[in-house]
Amino acid sequence: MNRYLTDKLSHWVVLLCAFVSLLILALIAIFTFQQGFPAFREIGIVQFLTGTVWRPGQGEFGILTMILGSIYVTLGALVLSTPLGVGCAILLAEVAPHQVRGILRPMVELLVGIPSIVYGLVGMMFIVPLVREIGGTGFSILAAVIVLTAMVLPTVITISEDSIRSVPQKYKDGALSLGATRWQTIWHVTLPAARSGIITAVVLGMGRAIGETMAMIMVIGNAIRMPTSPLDPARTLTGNIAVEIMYAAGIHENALFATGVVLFVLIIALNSIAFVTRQREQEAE
Amino acid sequence: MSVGCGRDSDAITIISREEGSGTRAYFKSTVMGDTLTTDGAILLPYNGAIRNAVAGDPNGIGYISRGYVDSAVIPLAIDGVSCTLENCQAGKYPLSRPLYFLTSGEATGVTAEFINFCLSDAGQTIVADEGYIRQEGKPWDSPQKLIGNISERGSTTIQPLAEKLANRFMKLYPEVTITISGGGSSVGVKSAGNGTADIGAASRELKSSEMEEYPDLKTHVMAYDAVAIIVHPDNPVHGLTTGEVAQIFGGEIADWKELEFVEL
Amino acid sequence: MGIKMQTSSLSFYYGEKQALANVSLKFREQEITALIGPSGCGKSTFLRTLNRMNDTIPHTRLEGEVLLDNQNIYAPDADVVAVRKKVGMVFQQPNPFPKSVFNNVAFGPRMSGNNQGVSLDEVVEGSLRAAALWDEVKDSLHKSGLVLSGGQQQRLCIARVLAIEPEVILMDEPCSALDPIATLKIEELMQELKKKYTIIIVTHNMQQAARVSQWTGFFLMGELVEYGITRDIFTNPQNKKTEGYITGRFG
Ligand SMILES: Nc1ncnc2c1ncn2[C@@H]1O[C@H](COP(=O)(O)OP(=O)(O)O)[C@@H](O)[C@H]1O
Ligand SMILES: [Mg+2]
Repeated sequence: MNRYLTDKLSHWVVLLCAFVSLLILALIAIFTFQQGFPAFREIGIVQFLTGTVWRPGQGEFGILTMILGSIYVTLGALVLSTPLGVGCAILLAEVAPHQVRGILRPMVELLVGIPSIVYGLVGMMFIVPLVREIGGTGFSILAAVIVLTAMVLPTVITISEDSIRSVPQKYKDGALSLGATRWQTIWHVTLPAARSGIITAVVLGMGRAIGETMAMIMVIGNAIRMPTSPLDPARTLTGNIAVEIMYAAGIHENALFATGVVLFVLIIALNSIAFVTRQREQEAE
Repeated sequence: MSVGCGRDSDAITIISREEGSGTRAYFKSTVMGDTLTTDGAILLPYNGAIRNAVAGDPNGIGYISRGYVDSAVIPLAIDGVSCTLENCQAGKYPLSRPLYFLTSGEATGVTAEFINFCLSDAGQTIVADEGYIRQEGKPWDSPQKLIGNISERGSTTIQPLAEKLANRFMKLYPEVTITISGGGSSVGVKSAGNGTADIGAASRELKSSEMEEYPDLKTHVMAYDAVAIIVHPDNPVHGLTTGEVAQIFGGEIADWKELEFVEL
Repeated sequence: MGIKMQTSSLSFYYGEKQALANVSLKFREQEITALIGPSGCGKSTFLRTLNRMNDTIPHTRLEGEVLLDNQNIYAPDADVVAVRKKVGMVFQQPNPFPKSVFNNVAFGPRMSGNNQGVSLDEVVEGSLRAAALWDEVKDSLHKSGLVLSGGQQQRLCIARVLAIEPEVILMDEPCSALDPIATLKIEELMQELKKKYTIIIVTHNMQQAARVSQWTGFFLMGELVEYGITRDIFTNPQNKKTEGYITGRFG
């Protein structure tokens, strides 16, 4: 009887927690949409999404340059951080001697805790001047991608390493005993077996990348112009909101919330792509 | 002249504040007029960030509150007047502006005492020490003892100065707690207007819309600030006219080479 | 029959701990040798020295020699990968890869990349047939190997080994995780395979050793206590300890 009660109670507590979390999320989403909606109505969705001029003072609100800015930096960080992160994860999980890993892994984990403004400042002091050597002002998509890659890497590394490490030894033994070399085993058995965890790592990294704000503001230049090269400055959707929300009022404020709605939709789209990819990968074998 | 380190072009890197900042509003009204800042301008949301960016870019130009200028950057002479404290105090430097504390109605209690302290000779000495421009100190009968909390919010230009003033005041009256936060001038106006802060800070004048919304707002000029136009120490250009600055930020002059004639 | 493989004065250490002491054993071609002994006596350790799988465990040390066709597989110029291709291994727990049946069997040939003229399809089919699994999986070659039953998985692992065309097959308690019917199937299969391969099987089960093997070695605490023709070992053991073990007095 007693046990039955605790059981029931746990059931309801868990349910309540889930409900409260969902409710909070829903309220945030509803509030954002509600605040953003007037902007869509007054500016027009098409004009808002495809416009390339953003001059709140003049009542012009087009965020295409920022949508592209966000997509470029996120994809750029994805393309750089995936091979680097998985490579480091392989190194930590499969190659590095025990003691080396014992030092490296906590260091990598420590990087996760560094506030993003610090990444931004370091990026501004070191990465921006470095990129300037290649061309342009240095405040650029490229600088943002580099900083973002550094920020996303710890996530990609630690989660990939965990999933590589959790691949059962018996698979590796099976491969080695069939005459596979150590690297063949890593490539053809360990990595595929860890794939689902690696995709999770990359998706989480991507989530962090597209949501990153402060560090981006410091290095990307925040200019509102169509970027045509990785050396051009750009503005991200998050940066747009963060830089202007303090001052915004009226339709300007609505437009910033609408920017948030677009970001929201973009994140859902990216996550869906990742989800479908993972689903397909799992069915493939 | 070649400004860049080993680069062919001396294309100017324009670094501006974001739309909405008090410094930008002031810069726009006194320098830019109707000229729009070029699309290609880098926008950074802090005085310090702009200083660091210019300090790191031989071709950079930006504008920041004079209080933030340090040896890493060179403030340009504007219309032939260099951006020294004396020139600013004498009203000769063209880009100087008042900084405001805002209160909803007449300040009372500890808040009034704090503002009076800021306007006193002691307060204004701190103003000058911090690189802002001081006024004549007003007499202030410092009370024996004060108790209470004060919140100040708004302009990031005023923030570091307000922190220094608050720290001194809290030393004098240990039972007073003052919290200082940023957010920008518009936030300062709002916060004072709707009572979420005891003191609002603004580095620009009130807009007519703000005056309508918050008719009770009272302004106190707590210091003057100059906006410095800064360049990299390696830049041989040490002075510009207001018009040239506008042309640069408007995108009309895009290369330092076009300014060769100004070289001192 | 000729000697395919032999160890001489083989000792093995995990760190400071000695797991094998001076083991000298011969394995004859096309015959099955069973290794028996109580748990922890070093049977698996011994088996893994025969295809150098112990190399993957850090802080281990080996003394003595293991000869395959009279070549020491631990010689400084010996090629581990080549050794493992010649000496295949079936593990105690069936361990097919989380890949399709086809890709499991094709794995070895793909890794060595030398399927001389023979198509991968043929290799896979041939190996699955030889492992007596073809009829059961021929319609689901592209389904995951993990959905097969335990006995099928173990035969898949055998097929996977056969695909690399080994000369020796090591089996470490291959039936311990299987039910009696699946066990019987594997035992029948071993009789087929022995026509072509040298087979060394570790087993916990003395009936199994008696049923399948021609030769038996009895291990105790890292030492080879007795070795001989299976029938002799089980009917007329020379050593008291062997007798004690097979009559069930310990172990
Ligand atoms: N990886 C290892 N590290 C350290 N000791 C081991 C390891 N594997 C086995 N041993 C030890 O070696 C001895 C022999 O083990 P094993 O060869 O597995 O015996 P069996 O297969 O006969 O049960 C045991 O005492 C066991 O604890
Ligand atoms: Mg064993």
